[in-house]
Amino acid sequence: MKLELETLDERQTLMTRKYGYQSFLLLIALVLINAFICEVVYVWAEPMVSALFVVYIALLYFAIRTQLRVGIGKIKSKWKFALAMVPFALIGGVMGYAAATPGEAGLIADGKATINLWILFFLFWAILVVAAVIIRRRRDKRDGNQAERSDGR
Amino acid sequence: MAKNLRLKAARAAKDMSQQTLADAVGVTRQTVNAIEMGDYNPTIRLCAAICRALGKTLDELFWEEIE
Repeated sequence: MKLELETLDERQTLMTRKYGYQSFLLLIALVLINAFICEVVYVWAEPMVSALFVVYIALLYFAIRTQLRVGIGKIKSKWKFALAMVPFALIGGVMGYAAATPGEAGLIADGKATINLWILFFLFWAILVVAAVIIRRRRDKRDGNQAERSDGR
Repeated sequence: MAKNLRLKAARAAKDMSQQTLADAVGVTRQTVNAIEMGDYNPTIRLCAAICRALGKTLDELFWEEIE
């Protein structure tokens, strides 16, 4: 009997849920820490920007963990991989340009982080996720070669 | 969790690669590798599928004696 492979197998589903749960806990912790900092220490950014930063960190954790451990998105062809990276490059380029262009506010205005700083961090996020994808692909290739060797093929 | 060498031996005896076995049971090669390395504890459904693909029983592949 051959079972059909759907999007994720049982290990991948389990790991995705595990990292999703961890990201959620991280999000709650960061929201509380951010609230404490803003109330007690210093208002370091506008409310919307600080919220985006908190979401950004939780998303970054989830994206990197799932890429490294779960390997979502099975892209075998180098051309397909390059094609999948195009949206990242486009988004990153546009965001980077927007951040670098002098506007009404720079990265920090009146002692507070601005939306431009968050945009710059988004570019950083894209780079990190792409790096995680590349690391995972190399590791998969290495593990695959080792498995083939141990099979005597 | 210890490595599952019996699974690896049964697969090799059938002249199957990890990828072939993974395709036969509907999971990724990484999952088969994780089971063999003892990094992942599969569900009974996947255990049964692996046993069918390799022509073995659950006892032969997955039963561990408690010492």
